[in-house]
Amino acid sequence: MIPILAVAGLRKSYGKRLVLADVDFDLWPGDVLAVVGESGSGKTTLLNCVSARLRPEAGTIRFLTRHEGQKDLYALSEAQRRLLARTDWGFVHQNPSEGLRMNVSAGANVGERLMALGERHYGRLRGAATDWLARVEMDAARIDESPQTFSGGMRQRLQIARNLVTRPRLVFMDEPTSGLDVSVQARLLDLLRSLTRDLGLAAIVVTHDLAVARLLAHRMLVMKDGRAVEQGLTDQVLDDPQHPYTQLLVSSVLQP
Amino acid sequence: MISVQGLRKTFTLHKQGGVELPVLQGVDLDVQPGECVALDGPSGAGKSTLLKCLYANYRATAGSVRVGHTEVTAASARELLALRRDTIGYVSQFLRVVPRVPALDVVAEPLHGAEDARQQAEQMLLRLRIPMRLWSVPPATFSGGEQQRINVARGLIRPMPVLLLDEPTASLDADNRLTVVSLINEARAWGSAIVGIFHDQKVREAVATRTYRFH
Repeated sequence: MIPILAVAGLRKSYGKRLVLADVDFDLWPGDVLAVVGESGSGKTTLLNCVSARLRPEAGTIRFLTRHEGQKDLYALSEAQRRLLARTDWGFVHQNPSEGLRMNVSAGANVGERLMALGERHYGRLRGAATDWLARVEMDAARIDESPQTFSGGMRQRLQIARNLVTRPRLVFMDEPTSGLDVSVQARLLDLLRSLTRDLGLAAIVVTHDLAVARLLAHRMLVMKDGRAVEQGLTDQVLDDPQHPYTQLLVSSVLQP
Repeated sequence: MISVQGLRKTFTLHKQGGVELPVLQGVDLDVQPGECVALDGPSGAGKSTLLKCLYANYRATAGSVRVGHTEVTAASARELLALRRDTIGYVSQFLRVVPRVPALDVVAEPLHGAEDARQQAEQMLLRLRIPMRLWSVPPATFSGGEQQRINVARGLIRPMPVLLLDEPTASLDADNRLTVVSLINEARAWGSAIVGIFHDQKVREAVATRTYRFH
């Protein structure tokens, strides 16, 4: 089996400040990887580089395309990368209003990616939207309402539906549950857990919450000062942390 | 099925100035299919640590741990996940609860959506005397003994070539203890290679084919 994403020697700096240095990892189909570390450790920069939103200075990111084998992401044309981003990938932002179009209906939000792929049949678009609203446990009666009227948890679920409607194989998530109430978080985590498992999604989840990582991810990568200081199975890293920084991180929270 | 040679595990506590805690200092252990080895020794001797090294939850400091055809100390994350999915069943001391997932689904999960997964899970819950009204409830609110039975049900629902049991009967009443003893003996008869910690002497005598003593 070939990794869906193979990242090697990734480097990025802002001015003189190095924000990513020599990051390597492979992601396999169906694999959920949590990237943890404190603010400023480079985890969001890493997510942006591997999702083709920010070009790194050095290093390679190879993505396993559906039909043409592995391709170097930054050797593709801008148009090819954009097509990937709206078909084979999903990107779930921390703040749902960045990932949604706030002034169109919930149904149109879900249908947009299908339309970008050429679907024009109104009945099928509406059917797909209804189906996906149900899958993220939203009331289908609200299909014509705009997300402005939704709670934070509902907006986040709508953002997930909008991303998954094209059946992507790889989903990037940036702090998907922070900013939500604890009870809403639990529901969203359970939803993400079952969706990633049932759809066999590969995912990279950036989070500062080790309990979220424990629940969602098979594997974990710990970032500090732009470097990946430790990698392993999630329970290995949390129960038997090796690096001084990981030990500090794990001992600083209550029972992740 | 399990072969441990010269296994050492030392914890280095960086926050305490790099203090080193040697817990396992050269463990050698071979377990064949159909054997059940009871780990025995005082608290803190390293019994749980050994189980966790076999499950690859703890990373060995030195030595070799082979489970089936996999060298656990050198395996990739991907190989370890496959090993846990297909080869190793593990009953930990405490159930790690996932919010919102009902008890029945927690128990059925190791069957990975097999056609009769629900029926099998129901059978296990019946055998372990979990009241039917609790089956659709997430185990977060269950008593300690109920949670432990969910954990046992989940760990033993599917015959696995290797079984690791960390105090599977600790907080159970006499009837349920007997049920768990039968389940363990059925797994052994099926051919599982079993390593466990059993503080209850009667349970140990009823399931173990030999003892590995820590000093």
